[in-house]
Amino acid sequence: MSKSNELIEPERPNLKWWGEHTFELNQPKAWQFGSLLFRLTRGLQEWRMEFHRPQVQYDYEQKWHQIEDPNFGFPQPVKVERYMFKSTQNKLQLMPRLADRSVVIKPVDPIYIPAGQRGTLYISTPLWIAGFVDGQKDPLFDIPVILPKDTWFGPNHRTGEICYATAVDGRTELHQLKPRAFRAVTPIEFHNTSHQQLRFDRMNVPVSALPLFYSESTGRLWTSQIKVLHEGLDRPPRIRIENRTPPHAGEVMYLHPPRAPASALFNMFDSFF
Amino acid sequence: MADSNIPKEITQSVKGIFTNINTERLTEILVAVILSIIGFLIARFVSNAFIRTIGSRFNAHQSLVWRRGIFYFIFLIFVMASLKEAGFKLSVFLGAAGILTVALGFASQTSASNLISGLFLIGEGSFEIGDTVQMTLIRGHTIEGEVISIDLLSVKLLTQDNVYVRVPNEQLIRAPVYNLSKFPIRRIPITLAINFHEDIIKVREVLLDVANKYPLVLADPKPAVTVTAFRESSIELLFAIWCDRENFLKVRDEMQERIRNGFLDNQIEIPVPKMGFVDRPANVQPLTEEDIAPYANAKEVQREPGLK
Repeated sequence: MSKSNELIEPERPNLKWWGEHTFELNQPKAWQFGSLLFRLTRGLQEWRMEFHRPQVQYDYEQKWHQIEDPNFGFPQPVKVERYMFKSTQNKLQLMPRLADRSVVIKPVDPIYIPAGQRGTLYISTPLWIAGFVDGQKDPLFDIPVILPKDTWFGPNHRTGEICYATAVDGRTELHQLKPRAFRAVTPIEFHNTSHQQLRFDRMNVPVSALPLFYSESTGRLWTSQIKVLHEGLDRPPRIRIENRTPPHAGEVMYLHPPRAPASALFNMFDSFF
Repeated sequence: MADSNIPKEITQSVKGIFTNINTERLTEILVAVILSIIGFLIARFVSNAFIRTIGSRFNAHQSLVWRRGIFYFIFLIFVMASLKEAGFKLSVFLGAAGILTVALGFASQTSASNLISGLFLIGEGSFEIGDTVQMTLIRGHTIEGEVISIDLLSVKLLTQDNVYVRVPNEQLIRAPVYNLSKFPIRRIPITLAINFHEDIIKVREVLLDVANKYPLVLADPKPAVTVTAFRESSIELLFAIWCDRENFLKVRDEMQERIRNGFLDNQIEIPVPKMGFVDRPANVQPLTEEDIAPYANAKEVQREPGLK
């Protein structure tokens, strides 16, 4: 609600905004997620979802809270979606999800990986909100908290794919990466076995092929780790998605399977950087 | 006697003609017609069945080409068979066609050239069904629309106004055709004018900020602002942004609005043509001959006598 989102935050803010909610009939609940205003209402035979997305959303707006007066009027424009049921149940799960397309990350300052070096970079990508009810495999709704910017990723203007763009700090140590409610952390391990220094100025992260975890001990959302092996300029870097959970995450809870299992990521081999 | 005989002969011969036609020719022709109808149905069935089964993975364009190809092939075989059945000798027919071609060629020049152009168009594959194409006809009239069918004689387009346009293939072969859906992203050039006293660096910042805050404008390729020309009362800028092909119209329209709002918020003026008037003092005399710049060659010019 306030404009001072980025200024003062408690030491360990409550980042767990998702979970199961119980709804009484016609008793709406409303939240503010970053700059997104969000309201859910359960009718006898329908769920009703409303949200207001301001024309400009900033990445630093990462606070959230439940709005006490759920009936308060949202500013325009409000988008309303309704979902019909024979009869609604009183439970609805709000869940985080990763982006529905690949995300192109761009470090604020370019990073170089000298020949023979290896290291892990912690980056974060934006999250979506999905609403699940019992008995439905697919979510009722699936909307980005902060709508990322579109971008193009490909060697030229003819071939490539539409992705989302996000700027990242690219921290080499986890504790430097500020915990944020609407971003999921992905560790990327680079290994440069070639004889040249590798410049890392942008990279396509196949988030739709990554699963999502929550780690209670770090209070963050995680995806599995990606390994990038660069062997030389003449051949494309090799990318592998690790099966095990990221080592720094500690004990994790499996939240969401990948949106598009594996196959989707292999078209980004030729032009990863 | 004679009176009754003549009509009898006539009726007999007439009857003979009719029975002859009935029994020999007519049955043959009937068989031929039935054969071509059956051929039509079979060709139809086979081509449809092919598309439903093997061709289910095809896109709209491929399935159209395959359906047409199979249909015409089977139908032609049946028509040839039925012609033979009806007593036409195909070889004679084709031989006669050699002479006929000359006559036919002149008569059906347009259709034939369209037909051949159509074959090339389908073969070339510059555009497919579902693509949006734009073309400029000879008189500068521009047609833009979605391709809904590519046929042997013409291409059918559906315009934004939901109007059906038939464009002869010949036209498409001869003139450049813009395929707007060939590649996934498109550039939107927006021409803007600003006042001469405006700070171009500030204008550029404002424009790039507007583009940056609109999620549908691509971050990469980057938006660009270039100064293109000095006009009479303005500086002309080209603001080029990129977007997904699907969002082209939406982005183009909304960007104009956002640019205008961005200019307004930052006190950047969009110029209108200006003209300055300089006031003369009030007590001025009417101009004399000396005030008016004389025509330098006035003396040399000799008027023709008698010319008024």
